[in-house]
Amino acid sequence: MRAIFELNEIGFQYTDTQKALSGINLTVREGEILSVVGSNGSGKSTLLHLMCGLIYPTEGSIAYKGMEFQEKSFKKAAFNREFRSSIGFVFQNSDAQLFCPTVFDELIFGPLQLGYPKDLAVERANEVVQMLHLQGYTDRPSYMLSSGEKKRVAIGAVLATNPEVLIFDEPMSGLDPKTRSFIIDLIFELNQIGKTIIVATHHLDLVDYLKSRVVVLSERHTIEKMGSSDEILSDTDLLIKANLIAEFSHRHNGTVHKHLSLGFLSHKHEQIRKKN
Amino acid sequence: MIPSFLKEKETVSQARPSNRRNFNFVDRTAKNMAAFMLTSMRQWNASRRAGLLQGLDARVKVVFVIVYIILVSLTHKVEFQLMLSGLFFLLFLASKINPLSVYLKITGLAFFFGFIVFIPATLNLFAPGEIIFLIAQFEKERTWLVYHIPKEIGVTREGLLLVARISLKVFNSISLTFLLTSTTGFEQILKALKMLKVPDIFLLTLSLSYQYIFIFSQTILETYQALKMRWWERGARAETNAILSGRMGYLFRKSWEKYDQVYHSMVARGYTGEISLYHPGALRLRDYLFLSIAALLFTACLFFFL
Repeated sequence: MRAIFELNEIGFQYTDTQKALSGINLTVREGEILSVVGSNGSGKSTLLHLMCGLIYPTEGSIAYKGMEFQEKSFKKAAFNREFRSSIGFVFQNSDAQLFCPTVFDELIFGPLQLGYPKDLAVERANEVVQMLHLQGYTDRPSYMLSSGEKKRVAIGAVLATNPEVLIFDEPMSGLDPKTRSFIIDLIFELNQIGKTIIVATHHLDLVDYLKSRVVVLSERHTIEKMGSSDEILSDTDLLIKANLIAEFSHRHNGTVHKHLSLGFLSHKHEQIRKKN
Repeated sequence: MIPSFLKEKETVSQARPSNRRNFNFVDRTAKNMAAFMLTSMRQWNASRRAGLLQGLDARVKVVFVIVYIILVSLTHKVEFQLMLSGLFFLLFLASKINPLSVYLKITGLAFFFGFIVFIPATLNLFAPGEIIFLIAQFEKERTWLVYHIPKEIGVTREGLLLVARISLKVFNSISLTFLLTSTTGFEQILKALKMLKVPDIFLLTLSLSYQYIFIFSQTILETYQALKMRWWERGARAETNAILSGRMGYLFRKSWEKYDQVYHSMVARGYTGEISLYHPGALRLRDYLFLSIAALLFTACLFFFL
């Protein structure tokens, strides 16, 4: 499979003292699912913003389908059009992402951008409505929706442009279990029809469900480890080091227990002291 | 479940109508927002460095800045203004502030507000004196209403000195302001204003406003990034206006929601109409030491230069 993104010794600093990423070497291949995990502030969102060409590296180079790009690359209309229409980014904050007056306007915006005639654009937007179960919401403004509905509209707005690569920033945050399960299924299905998926998350259950290649970012903003989800999730020491799980104690049936904050790993109840 | 169009490769239309609005402003706005947040972060970082002024209480710095701005405006000697510039430069160095970046800004502001604005004062039309650079010469002098046009118009020695003095005063006053803002967090400056009997409710409102500017800058930046990701073509004017007005409405609504949340959070924590903020306690030895040296210098300046 050809490389979609090639990151070579990428570093990014917001200020002289605030390093967000350092020495990142990473290749994202066509058709794969890549999960980027790390604790809060480890640089996951920064990495996604770099891949989307929203910010530019302060060190190293980044290439899209073999074409190295920088800020000036987007001044060329052909590259800008090709890049922006191929990469779909679902922001963590759906509120900021949705900018049209109604849900339907959001969904039809992309197809009209692609130059589709109005009737075809309407048809495409309606297909997205069906797929994401947004019937009944189409004439509403996005601020009248719940978090889960907003997330579905945000995903729909991106999917309507039919991008080759879908990038999700913390897709599970603030969602109810039903919407989470819906999004996991959707990510799978999109990958099965050939879409390249990149997901940044600190929800390890999502990583476990996706069974993808995983990149672990450390709190030092470097890549701590890369591997399969099974390999990563079974490495408890790594997960503790990357601050993705923590050991905590709690009371249970009159007994104090301690175990890791990771539901799907073996739930060891080591008794440390009896309640008086 | 998955629509058929998603299973096909997208072909992007290469031809779009050209009579559409250019979207460079998306880039510009995003850059401006990012720059604002970056400046705030840099300022915050600088105010936490282990430097001379960073180690002092904000109240001491506020007093120092106010008193020295008065001193700068009281004294008219160019040599004295130069001496103060040297002192402030040393304070920047002792506070580990990069002098190059800060002096570029100070010089730019002083050039505009001090030099450019007052440059007409160099002419003998406004400040009579010895002409050192002749610009125009007439046959005779003229008077029209209250205006007097001399026979020769030129740059005078006295005018140049006046502009140099004003420019230096502006330069020094801006330097003092930068000394305060580069070494003190905005919240600390606000709290220090309590000393000037500014009411707590006013301080809290100012503090909230600053926080909201920061929070909303983040939101605006994200919005423009989202626009950039999905809006790579030029937009029709009506389309553009609809989106922009929608975004303005969104921000207004968000501000309103935030206002409600803050009010509820205040009520939940016991707010009954009166605000009482926590203010730092007594000054430390180094604060007194700095104040004493500054006061001595101030007195010496008054004695020797006024």
